[in-house]
Amino acid sequence: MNCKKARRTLSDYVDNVLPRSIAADFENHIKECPGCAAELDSVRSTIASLRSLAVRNTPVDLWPRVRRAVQSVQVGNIARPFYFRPAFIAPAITVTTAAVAMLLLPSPRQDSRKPDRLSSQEYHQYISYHAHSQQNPFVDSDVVLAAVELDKAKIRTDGNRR
Amino acid sequence: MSFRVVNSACALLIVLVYPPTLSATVSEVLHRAEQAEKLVSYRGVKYATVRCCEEDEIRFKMSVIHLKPDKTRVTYLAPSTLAGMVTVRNGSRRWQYYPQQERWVSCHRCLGPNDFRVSTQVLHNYKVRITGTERVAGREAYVVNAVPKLGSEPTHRIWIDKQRYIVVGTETKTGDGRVIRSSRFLSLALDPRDIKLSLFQVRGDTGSVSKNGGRIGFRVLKPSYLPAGYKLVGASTSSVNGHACSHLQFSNGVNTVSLFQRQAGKTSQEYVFLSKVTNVLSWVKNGMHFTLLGDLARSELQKIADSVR
Repeated sequence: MNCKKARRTLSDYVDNVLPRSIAADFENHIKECPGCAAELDSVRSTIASLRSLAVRNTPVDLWPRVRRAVQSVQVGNIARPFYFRPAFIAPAITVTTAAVAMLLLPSPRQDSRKPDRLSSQEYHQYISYHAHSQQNPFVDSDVVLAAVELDKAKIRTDGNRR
Repeated sequence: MSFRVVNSACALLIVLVYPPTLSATVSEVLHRAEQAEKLVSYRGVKYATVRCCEEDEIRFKMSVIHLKPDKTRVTYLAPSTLAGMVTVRNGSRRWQYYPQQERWVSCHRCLGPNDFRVSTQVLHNYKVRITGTERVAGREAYVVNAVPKLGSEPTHRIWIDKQRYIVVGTETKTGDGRVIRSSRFLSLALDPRDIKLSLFQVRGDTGSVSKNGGRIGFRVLKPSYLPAGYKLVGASTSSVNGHACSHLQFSNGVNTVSLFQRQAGKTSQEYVFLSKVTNVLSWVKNGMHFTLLGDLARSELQKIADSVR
């Protein structure tokens, strides 16, 4: 037996599972090879050390604890840093959105102008007043009023459609 | 023979040096037209057209009864959307009847100074010419053209009855020659004797639109900028949506711009829409809500709005 074959059979020899003839060949090699003999001693000492360690029993509540942990992961309620919690994130998003909106809006002077924004009822009154007040030979107020009334009807229809 | 030649030459010279100006005639015709409704009662059927933006032309038909000096009743006959609607003008008061709601709504109008003459302002701001005569509703009428001296506002043409100076037709064109509004009497009877006063009296509920009793509760602001030729021609107060509201009216004699002002409310049910009748600009400034509307370019309305303070 050479060193290469001896190293391959070392673990089986320690476990005492080798056939008698191969085990005899291994022992003859160990007597003649100090390197393989040292390797055998190292393995035997490691096994001896492991056997000296105390045996610990499994806790009785291990499985319930594992199950609770798995369930908490399923509902997304695992422990997170405070800045990832909804109670912190929702107000933060709101404040950020408001800040961005204020930055994007025009300056206060322009902000005060809201073109074309007016309630339809109020607009109807204004345009009626405007039409009734027109009185000169060049403008037929009856026609202006008719156009205003049609415009009102159209706005009402569009509003209902929306 | 030589006398005839000299005479003709003198006549030609006079015509060349002093051309027969129509302005005096135009002035007289316009002024008479402005006063005609105070002097003549009439009854007729009028057709009208309105074209908004690129939409199809809408045709109207209405019956008009006028009792001098200041009572008019108009009943709309077509289109079907407006059929049955009535407007009554009695002095400075205005009412509108809505058949679907079966109710009258009173409306206010701006009142200007008594000595204000529209015709004077028109002649100042427009090139006004009598271009000929045409027959309208079986009667001979002057055709009067009015082109703005400044700006790109619409041009106008009206037909004025040659004998009684009633306006029997109107036409408004854009700068590119598109007719946006027109009206013309199809039939017209002057001085009918069977017009009843009851036609101009409105009874019962007259709706929520009312005068505000003159108490406005805030300082009415005016624009420091107005387009050339425009001036303040009327003012009034009223109630709009429960708010006291002021109404200032500016005109160049033909075109009119209205500025409404009220206190801004905290709650608003505002939504965006575009008017096809006229341009509208609405804004809030220093706690006041303003609405400016009229047949002016948006840029001009914007300039007026910027100068309100």
